[in-house]
Amino acid sequence: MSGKVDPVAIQDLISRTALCLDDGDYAGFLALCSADFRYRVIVPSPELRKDMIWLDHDREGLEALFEALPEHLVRLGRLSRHLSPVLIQDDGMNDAVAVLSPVTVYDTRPDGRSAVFAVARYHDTIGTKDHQLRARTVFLLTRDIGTGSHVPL
Amino acid sequence: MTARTAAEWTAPPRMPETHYVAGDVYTDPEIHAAEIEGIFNRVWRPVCHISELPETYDYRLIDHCGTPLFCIRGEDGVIRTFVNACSHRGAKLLHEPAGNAPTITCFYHRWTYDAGGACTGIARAAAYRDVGIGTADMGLRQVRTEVLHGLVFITMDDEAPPLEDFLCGALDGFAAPLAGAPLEVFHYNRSVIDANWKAWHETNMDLYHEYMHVVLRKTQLKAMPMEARQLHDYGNGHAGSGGLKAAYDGYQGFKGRGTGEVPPLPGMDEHAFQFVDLFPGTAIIARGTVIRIDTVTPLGPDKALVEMRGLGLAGESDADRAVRMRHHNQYWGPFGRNVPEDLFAAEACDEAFRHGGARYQIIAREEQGTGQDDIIMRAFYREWAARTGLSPAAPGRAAASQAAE
Repeated sequence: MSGKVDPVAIQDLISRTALCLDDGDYAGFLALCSADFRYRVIVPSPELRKDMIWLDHDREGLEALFEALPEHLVRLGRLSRHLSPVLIQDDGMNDAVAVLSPVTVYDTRPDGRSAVFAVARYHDTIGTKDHQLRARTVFLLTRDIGTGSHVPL
Repeated sequence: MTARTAAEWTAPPRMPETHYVAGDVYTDPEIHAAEIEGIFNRVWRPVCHISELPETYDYRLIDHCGTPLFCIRGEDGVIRTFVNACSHRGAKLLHEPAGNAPTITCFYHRWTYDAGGACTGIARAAAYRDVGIGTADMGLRQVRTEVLHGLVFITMDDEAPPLEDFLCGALDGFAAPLAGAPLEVFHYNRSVIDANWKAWHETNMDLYHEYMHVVLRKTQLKAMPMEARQLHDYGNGHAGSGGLKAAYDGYQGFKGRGTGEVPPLPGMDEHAFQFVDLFPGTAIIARGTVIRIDTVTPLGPDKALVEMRGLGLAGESDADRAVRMRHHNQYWGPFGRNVPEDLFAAEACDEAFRHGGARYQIIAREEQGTGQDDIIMRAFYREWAARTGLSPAAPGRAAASQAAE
């Protein structure tokens, strides 16, 4: 682990990003992200024998996506992102650290039943000075996510 | 009075029987069995694209209504399809969704097969000498396979008419975008949904449902006059439309699209939009720069497998591919603005029909074959009736054409 970062602060930031998305607080989520933030969902495909990109947005694209959500027929129920303890990887970046977080996303339906929606890993890049999320790549292991989602994981 | 009584609700709609469908069609296990036997085991269906099998011995597993199949490219370059079951004890032979198998070896007793389906090895074969079987008798069950415009079609029926006859020219309008240049599948996903397979495919055939999608309301409904949208019934249940347009600047999240970000597909401009619905459950949709192919496979009366592919130009630069994937993902894919809404609609209809809440669906829009006419739905159910021998409006009795015989 790097000596230049506060693991508790890193854990706190990642948890807050997840809770903001859970709560539909997209402004709150974006407030935790840097101006050059990039979000991607990458899915390894054994069918095609290569990685697929299912979502790829810069901050502006993500803002447009969030802004349009109220007009869309968005899935009912609620997604909850449950994070396992993160692994902070010191990869030699001067002012940022790479952080890996296993995440399980649960879907709680309108009738109250909950089920696993997706299993994934967050690969985050976090600034050590500004404590902002600079990039998040969601490596999605679950390839059948039912009716899908308008909202990033 | 506006609301209806139980009797009024359950009474058949007062319109021609060709213009509505009974709810039993989505829920009855016997009808489902009739569909498997009369439709899915008889027709040609596209199951993958040639780019998924680029090298000799490349294979791809296929789910045919629960029956495991695999396509494999042989030494002669020909793509063949087989039932994915060992001739010995019936064990499934190949298990990874895709791979390369110069020799197909059953894990169970080490029987081996080649890419032409021949049995090439039986461990300690001498013990079968008394019953007179050897490798020559133990080949795999081959499934008829043809390739058209890069699509690999199969039929389980050895006596089915040729693919060309079945298609009735429905794919002619896609010759340029599908085969004008080599394409490559860059997106594949599958979703098992709680819905009858037809409820999914109706989201492709029912153009009136454009109103459900905000992206279509903003990019499509105003892009050209409704009466200029010509719909085509090709026969055999296939239908579609070409010459459509999309105005991508109508949706805020599609910034840049339609401004020459990436070369369009052959025969298209970047605003062009065309689609064809192939009977029984495939839609091919081209949006200028990218193609989506989705295929639905019944897994039961109220469960269906939806498979989606995204295709772009093979061999293009990483930068062009990234744009093309973005164009695909804007509408389609599990995080698209469009597909999750269609999947929601399919499940919502199925939920209401499942226990008899909803009784009929109406497919009665008449717009002289333009705009949002239900001609595509009616073409589908005409073929459905011919192949199942049942009336979609009253499936308890035979279809009208058959009853008259």
